[in-house]
Amino acid sequence: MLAAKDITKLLADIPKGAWVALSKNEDKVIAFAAELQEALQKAKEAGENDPVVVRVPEADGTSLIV
Amino acid sequence: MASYRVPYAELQASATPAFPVGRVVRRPVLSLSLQNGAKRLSCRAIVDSGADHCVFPRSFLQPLGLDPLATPVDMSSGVGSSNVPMHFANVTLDLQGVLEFSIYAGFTPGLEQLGLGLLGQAGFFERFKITFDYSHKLYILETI
Repeated sequence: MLAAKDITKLLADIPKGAWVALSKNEDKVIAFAAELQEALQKAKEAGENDPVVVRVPEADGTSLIV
Repeated sequence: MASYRVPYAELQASATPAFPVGRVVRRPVLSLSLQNGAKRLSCRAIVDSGADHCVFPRSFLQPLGLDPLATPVDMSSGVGSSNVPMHFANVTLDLQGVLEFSIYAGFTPGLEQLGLGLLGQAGFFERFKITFDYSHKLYILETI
């Protein structure tokens, strides 16, 4: 419960910088687009009204400092 | 008082010059939803003791029905940036139907590239006693 899944493989073939709409249980990609609103619209058209949105990192490398 | 033991999200990172055989990265990531009235947006966020507030990408304002011109602004700073405008609004944070509470959240272009939120001191840490247990690959959220 509450834990987030590793979605690295799901995002592997999606262009860098794209916004991605995942299924509610985060096990498949519903839609992706350059803009968040477009990804949400595509997901809605695919029947997913409440996707989990994430973004494919633009930067190479794996370290995250926030 | 309720207690939640949450595994770190483990990400298999590819090789880089600094980590030539790749590595597993552990992050305290939660999936959650933000709500503003009937508007709802689901995303991910990192539990981040270094963040003053709960903060999300600025582009989340529109799907939540929030007008950037009608929201108060503060300037923010972080690693590699300073004087970045942050819009604030009251929203409801829904932790996967387990917990739900109101937060005064910031929305900043500084998180656009990451596309995820930060769950910071005001709004999140004020509601939980949080124990990070990296060696056991989990963290514990206890409601206050």
